[in-house]
Amino acid sequence: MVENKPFLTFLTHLVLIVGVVVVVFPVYLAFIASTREASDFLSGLTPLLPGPHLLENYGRMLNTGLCSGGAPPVWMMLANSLLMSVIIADGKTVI
Amino acid sequence: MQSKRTVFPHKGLPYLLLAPQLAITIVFFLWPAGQALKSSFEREDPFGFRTTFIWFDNYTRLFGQPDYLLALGRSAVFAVSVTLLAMSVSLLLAVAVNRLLRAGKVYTTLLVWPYAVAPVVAGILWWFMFNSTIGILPYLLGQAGIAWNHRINGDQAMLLVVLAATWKQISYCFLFFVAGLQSVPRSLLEAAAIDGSGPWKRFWTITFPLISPTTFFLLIVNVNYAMFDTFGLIDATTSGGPAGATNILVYKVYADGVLGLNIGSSSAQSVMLMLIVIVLTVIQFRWIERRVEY
Amino acid sequence: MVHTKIAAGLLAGVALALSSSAVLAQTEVTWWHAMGAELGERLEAIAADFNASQTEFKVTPVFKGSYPETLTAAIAAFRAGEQPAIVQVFEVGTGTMMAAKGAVYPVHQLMADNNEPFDPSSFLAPVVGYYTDTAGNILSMPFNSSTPIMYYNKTAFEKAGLDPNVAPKTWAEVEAFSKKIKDSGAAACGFTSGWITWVQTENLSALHDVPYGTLENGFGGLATEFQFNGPVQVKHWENLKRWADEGIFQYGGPVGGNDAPTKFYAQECAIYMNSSASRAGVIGNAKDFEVGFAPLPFYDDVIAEPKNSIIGGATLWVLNGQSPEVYKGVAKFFTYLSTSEVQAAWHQATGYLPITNATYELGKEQGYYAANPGSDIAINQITRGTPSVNSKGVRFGNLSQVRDAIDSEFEAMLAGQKSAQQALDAAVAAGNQILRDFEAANQ
Repeated sequence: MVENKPFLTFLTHLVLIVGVVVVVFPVYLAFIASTREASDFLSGLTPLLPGPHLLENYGRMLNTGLCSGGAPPVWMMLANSLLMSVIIADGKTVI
Repeated sequence: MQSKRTVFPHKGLPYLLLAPQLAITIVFFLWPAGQALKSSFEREDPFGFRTTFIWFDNYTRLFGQPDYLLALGRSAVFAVSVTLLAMSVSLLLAVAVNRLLRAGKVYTTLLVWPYAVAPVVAGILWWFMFNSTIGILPYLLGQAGIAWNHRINGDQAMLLVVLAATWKQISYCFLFFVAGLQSVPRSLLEAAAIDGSGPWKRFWTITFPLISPTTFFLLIVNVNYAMFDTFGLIDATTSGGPAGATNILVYKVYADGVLGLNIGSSSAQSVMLMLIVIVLTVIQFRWIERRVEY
Repeated sequence: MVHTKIAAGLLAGVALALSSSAVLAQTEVTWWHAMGAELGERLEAIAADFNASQTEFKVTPVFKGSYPETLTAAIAAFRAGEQPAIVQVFEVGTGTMMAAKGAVYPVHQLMADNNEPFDPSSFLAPVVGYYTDTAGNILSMPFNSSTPIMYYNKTAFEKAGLDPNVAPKTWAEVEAFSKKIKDSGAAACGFTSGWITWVQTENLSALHDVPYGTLENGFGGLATEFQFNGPVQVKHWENLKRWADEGIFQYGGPVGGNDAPTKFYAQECAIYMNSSASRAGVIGNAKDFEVGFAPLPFYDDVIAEPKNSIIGGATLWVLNGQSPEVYKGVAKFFTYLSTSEVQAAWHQATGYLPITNATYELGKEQGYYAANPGSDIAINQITRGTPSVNSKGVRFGNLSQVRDAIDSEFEAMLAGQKSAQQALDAAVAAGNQILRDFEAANQ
């Protein structure tokens, strides 16, 4: 950036804000979904604000998971992923 | 040009050092590829009890199917759209971030972490947003008078998967472009500004040619991604439909092999896919690399 | 020195642990299944109860994903020598499993070899007929069989001025009711359906007593060819396209039609046709309205008394390659599974059909059907009348691939690219090619 044109700076910020919104919106939706129960998504429109089930949902997934739904406890999957990525990263660097 | 060559005292040492990498390449790449090649010449029942060698039957059958030729075309459209869109959007964002000094860091952080989202998860998120009953985007589009139903309209389904695949790649390309842009010497830009060229001209005559190594690298990575890594995304959103509108090559390999249990045809398709990407990469290296200025 | 002592100590400890665990070891029976969510919880409860009822065997259920994923996993495991003892395979995989004679341990033989009581006549005829070979031997254990029924939104019916306790019986009535519902604004669309292939094509053919394929719908041999592009199926697909254009019918997506349940729960569509096993999901998710249950509609100008519907769902197949101990456990588990108490609990909680006649009698005795309206629609629909050769079911190799072709042609028709006749003709051609491949691979 060589000149100091305020219009260009404004344009730059605008572009970036639009970019951030587009890029972050789906992840925001995922967060909203994680704070609500399943039935909120089966009727009507997708809610856009967080719901009350944050601790409950996270607690359940971390501890016991939905075994019959094919989702083992998340802490186990996190531990596995951590182990795998450390080994693979080290392996790739060494080799 | 000076080239540095390392001289090893022991003759066999380089081979020994290369051995682990070679072993991994052989076991995890060459062996499965060999298996696929072998399977593509056979016809067998799913459990592997009866295997018959049928020469190039699987391949000739593939090219006789209009389905396969359509899938080839669709994969091309998909790969080109995703690559162009992802690279232009991320370049735009990278250039924008490059202009700002302090705020740039905040924006960079915000724009980079969607890269951590797995392709399947990205697919599900986009499925939610575009779902004709509960999705927020069809609702907004409906307000604007556009009826959205990607279950029936093949073009809309293709648009959906292109958008979802591009979204995933924006962060990755953005990171590389930011790094590339920072290596452009400011003295050049200042000199050009003094000579009277505006920001638009400066970008195209100085910046863009100087980031061409990054652009070239990202071109290859994006084409590879669009051809290979998008399977999870298609599976989660459109399952190759409607009427095969988003049935790209890599998804067809899965559909015929896993769902259809036709291992011979599926292997033939994966061999074809591998050949296509090899040819594309060779073309890119031969023709485009010449124009890259290091 | 110290190293050797530690090593020796470790070895001794390991040996001790191994030997003691061998004494306490139960024979493990792995069971790969495709039941997720509420159904999966019920299934695990069954396994847990069996394990608690005896100490010799331990059934370990493992959820492997969807039906196609479970089948593929089992095949891959078999080729690697790591197959489970029991695998739940959906009805369209029957052709593939039956052709894999070296991999499958037929259930009638397993029960006989292990001296477990097994009376084929105690099972519901339409269920068991699907899984019997030409000699009348039962090859797999029925577990969760379903048949499609119609669910409808009683609240929406009332809003539209229709009698909420009267469900449409014929397709003409479905059209009329749907138009009324849509015009009155009670719902945006009249009806939706899961499984266009299973519900709207295969079951359609069975109900109206028209053939789906030659050689008795494929039961007669691998040389069968498809015939589902007949006048009845074409007329129905034409109607579906017309109704979709008019907004009365909304397409729920390919394969199982995953968008369809959402449309019903969100009260976007007032009528919903899907498996009887969707009952648990419907009752759980239909929050603001009352649900009614009814048999599938039919064309009364084609047939006066519709035939029985055909089954879907899955059965349990036993794979070769385990030790005789494991098979003893499998046989005992299958006996446990077919007891009326276990079957009744499973059937009543899920909406799957009762597998044995005794289970149905038990349910009647318990007053379950009286207390839960609509819970016996499925079983009545599948046992009505005398089954003809066209309503016994279908048996084709690689049927899931054929269904994908049918879905693809249906979508092309909905998008206006082809007429119903063209779409069905193309589907038959594609399907026949798949059948010839299957025949060639399994000669």
